Amino acid sequence: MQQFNTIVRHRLLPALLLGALLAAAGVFFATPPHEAVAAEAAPPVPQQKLVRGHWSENPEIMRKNHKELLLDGMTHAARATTRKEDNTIERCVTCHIVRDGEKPVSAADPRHFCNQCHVKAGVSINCFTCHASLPTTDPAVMSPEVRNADVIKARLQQWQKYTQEQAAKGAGK
Amino acid sequence: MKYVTYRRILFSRRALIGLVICALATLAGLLATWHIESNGHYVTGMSNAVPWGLSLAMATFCIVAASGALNVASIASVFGKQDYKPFSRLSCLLALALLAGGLFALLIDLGRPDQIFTALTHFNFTSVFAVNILIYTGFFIIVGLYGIVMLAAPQGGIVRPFGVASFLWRLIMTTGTGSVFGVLAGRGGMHSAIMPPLFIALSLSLGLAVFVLVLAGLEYSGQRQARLDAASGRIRGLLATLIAVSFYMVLALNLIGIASPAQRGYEAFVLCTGGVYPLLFWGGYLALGTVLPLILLLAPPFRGSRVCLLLAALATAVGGMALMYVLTIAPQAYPADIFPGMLVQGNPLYTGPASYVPTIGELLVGLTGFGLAGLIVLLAARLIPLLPLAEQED
Amino acid sequence: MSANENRKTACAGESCIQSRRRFLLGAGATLLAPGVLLTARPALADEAGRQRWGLLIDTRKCVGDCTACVDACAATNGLTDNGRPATDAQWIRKVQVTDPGTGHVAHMPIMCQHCGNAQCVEVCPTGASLKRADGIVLVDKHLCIGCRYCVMACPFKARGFTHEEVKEPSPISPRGKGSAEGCNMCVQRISKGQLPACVEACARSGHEAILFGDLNDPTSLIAKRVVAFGAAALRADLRTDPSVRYVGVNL
Repeated sequence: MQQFNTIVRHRLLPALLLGALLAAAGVFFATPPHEAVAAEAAPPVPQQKLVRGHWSENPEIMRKNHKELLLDGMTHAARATTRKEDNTIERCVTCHIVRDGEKPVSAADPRHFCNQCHVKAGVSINCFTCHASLPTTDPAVMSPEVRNADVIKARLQQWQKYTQEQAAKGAGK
Repeated sequence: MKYVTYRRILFSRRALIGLVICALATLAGLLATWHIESNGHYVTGMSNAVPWGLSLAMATFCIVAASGALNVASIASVFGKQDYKPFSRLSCLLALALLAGGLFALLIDLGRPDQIFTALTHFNFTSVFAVNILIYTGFFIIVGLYGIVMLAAPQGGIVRPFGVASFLWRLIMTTGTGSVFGVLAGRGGMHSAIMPPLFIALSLSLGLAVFVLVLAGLEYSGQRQARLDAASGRIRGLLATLIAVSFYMVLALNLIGIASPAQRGYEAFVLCTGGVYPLLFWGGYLALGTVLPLILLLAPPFRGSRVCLLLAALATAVGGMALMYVLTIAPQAYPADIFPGMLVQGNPLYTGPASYVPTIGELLVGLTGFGLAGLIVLLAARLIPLLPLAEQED
Repeated sequence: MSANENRKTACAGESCIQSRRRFLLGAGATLLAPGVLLTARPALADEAGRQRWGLLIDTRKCVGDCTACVDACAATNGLTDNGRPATDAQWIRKVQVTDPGTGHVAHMPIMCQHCGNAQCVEVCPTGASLKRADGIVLVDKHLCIGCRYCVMACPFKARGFTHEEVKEPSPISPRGKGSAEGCNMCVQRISKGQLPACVEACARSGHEAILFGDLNDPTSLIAKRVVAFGAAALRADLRTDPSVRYVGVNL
C-alpha cells in the first residue's frame, strides 16, 4: 500500500503532468494560426465598386478589421438614436451573396459568405442566431445613398424579380 | 479541556452510492440543459406568462438553504454556544456547496448561458439581480475565509470576527434573494416588503433542516461522528422555533393580502381556487411542512425519538420546497391586473390564470443544484477533515 | 428634462377646452389625419432635442374583430406562429375591457408601454433592457443573457422570451433564441422615416386608432391630442410613466 502510494506520487503523477503539458504544447504549435487559414479560405471579393471605399479599395482592410468594426457597431446599435454610419449586418449580407444556383444561401449553409472563412478557421460566430443572413430589399434596412447607388439598384431589382418569380411559382402550384 | 477531533469521511459502500447518485443527478441535469438549450425553452413548461418555473424554484431553495446552513456555525461562533462548535466546519462547507449548486442550476437555466462573461462584465446596479451576483461572490469569499480560518486556527479567537462577518453577510444575501421577488411591483402576489424577512426566516428553518438531514445521511453512510442532538434536545426546540417564525411571516404575508381589496383576488387564487397552488400551500407547506414537524418535535410522545427529529427535518424541507414553489410561481400564473376593477377578455395572458405544468427537464435541472451540492460536500469531506468525532476529555 | 417640463406646462395651461375648440380641433385632425398618418415623418432630431416617441390609442376607433395591428407586427418582425400560443412571440395583443359598473366596452391593443420609469430597465442585470434617449424601451440582445427577469418585472406582461430558434429572422428586427424581446416601436422603421407597423396597418385598415408621434413636441398632433382628450396611462398608480396613452376608456 505504501509502495503504491509512492509510485503514484513520485512517478505516475509527474508523468501524467508532463504528458499533459506536452500534449497541450503540441496542440498549440501544430494548429495553423488563424490568419493563415483565413487567407487561404478567403472568398472572392464582390466585384462592384460601391459608395463607401473600404470594400473596393482594399479588401485586406475589411478582412483584418471587420471584427472591430462589427463590435464597435454592435455596442452602439441599440442605444444610439441616430446611427450616422448606419451600417447594419443585414446590409452587409445584401451585397455579400453566395448563391446556390439562383437562390442565395443563408448562414445555416457553410457556403455563406461569413462561414466560408469562419468555418474553416474554427472561429464560431453567433451573429445570425438573431440577425437575418439573407439579402433584403426592405427599404428600412437601406440608407438612401446606398439604395440609390446604380449597381445596388440593379442588384436589388434582380433580387426583387427573383422573389416575385418564386412567389408566382409558389402561388401557381 | 474538551477538544474535538475531526476526521475525513470514509467512502464506504453507502457513501459511494450517495456519491454516484449525486453525480448522476448532476449529469442528468446537464443532459436536460443540453436538450433545453439546443431546442429552446419551449420544451419546458415555462412560457411568456410563467417565465420562472420549477428549476428556478428549486435553485432558490438551494440558495436560501445555503444561507441557513451556516446557521449552526453562526450559533457557535457568533452566539457562543459551544455545543454546536464541532459542527461548524461541516456547516460552513454545506453553505458553500448549496450556494454553488443553486447558482449553477440558475446558470444553466439561462436563455443564453454562453453570455455569462457578458453578464460578469456588464452590471446594472439598479437591478437587485446584479447586486446579488456580487453578494454571492462575497459570500463565497467570506465564508471560504471563515472555513479556512476554522481549519487553520480552530481554538483561536480569530474565528469569531469571521463568524460575525459571515453571519451578517448571509443576512444581506438572503435579503437580496428575497428582494429579487419583493421589488416586482408588477406581480402583486410577490410585491411585499415582507419578502426579505420571510426569506431570512425560511433560510433559518430550511437550512437547519437540511443540515440535520445531511448529518443523518453521513451517519447512515457509516461515518462515526458526533451527534448533533447530543446537545440535549436543544436542536429540537431550535428547529421548532424557526418553523414557527417562518409560519408567522407567511401568515402575515397572507393576512395582509386578504385584508387589502386589491390583493384579495390573488389570495383567493393561491389559497382556494388556484388548483395546485392551494394544494401545495395547505397540504405541502402547512400540513407537511409546519404542523407535522411541530408535532414531531414538541409533542411529548415523540420528544425522545431521534427518528422523529429526522422525519421533522425531512417534512420541513419538503414543505419548504412546496412553499417556494407557491411563492415564486403562483404570482406569475395569476393574470396581471392591468385594468383594476374591469372585466378583461380577449387574450389569455390577461384573462385567466396561466397554466404551468413543469416538465421532467426542469425537475432535472433543479436537481442539478442538489446533486452538485452533494458532490461538493462528499468530495470536500473526503479530502479535508470536517467530520467531528465524539468529544473527548483531555 | 426641460422639454418634458414644457409639455407639462402646456398641459396645465390648456386645462379647459371649450367644445367649439374641441370641434375645430377634431375636424381639423380628421381632415389632416390620413395624410399625416401615412406620409413619412421628418428625420429625427439629434439626442439633445429630447424627443419622446409615443403612441396614442383611441379605443373609440378600435374595433373588436380587427387584428390588423397584431398581424402587421407579426409580419414585420418575423414572429412566426408555431402553434404554441403560450410560448409563441406576440408583441401586441388585443383585449376587450368591460366596465362592470357602467357596461361600457372598449377594445384596444396592448403592447410595450415604453415607460419613462421602466421596471424592465431597472431589473435587467446586464443593462440589456434599456431606454433610449428618445424614450423607446428595447432589448439590446448583444447583452441579454436570457434570465427573464424583465419578463417577470413588466407590469403589463409586455416582455416575452424567445422560446425557440428563429428560422427566418426579419431583416429589420433581429431576434434570436434565448433572448428577451418585446415591442421596440419598430425602431429600424422609424429611424428611416417610416411609421411603426401597427400604426400603419391600423391606418390602412381605415380605423386610424393608433397615432405615433413626439410627445415632447407641443406642436405635434399626438401631444395636442393627449392634452385635448386627456389620454390616460395604464396602471398610472404604478408611476411607470408610459409613452403609450389610451383615450376613450376609464383607466
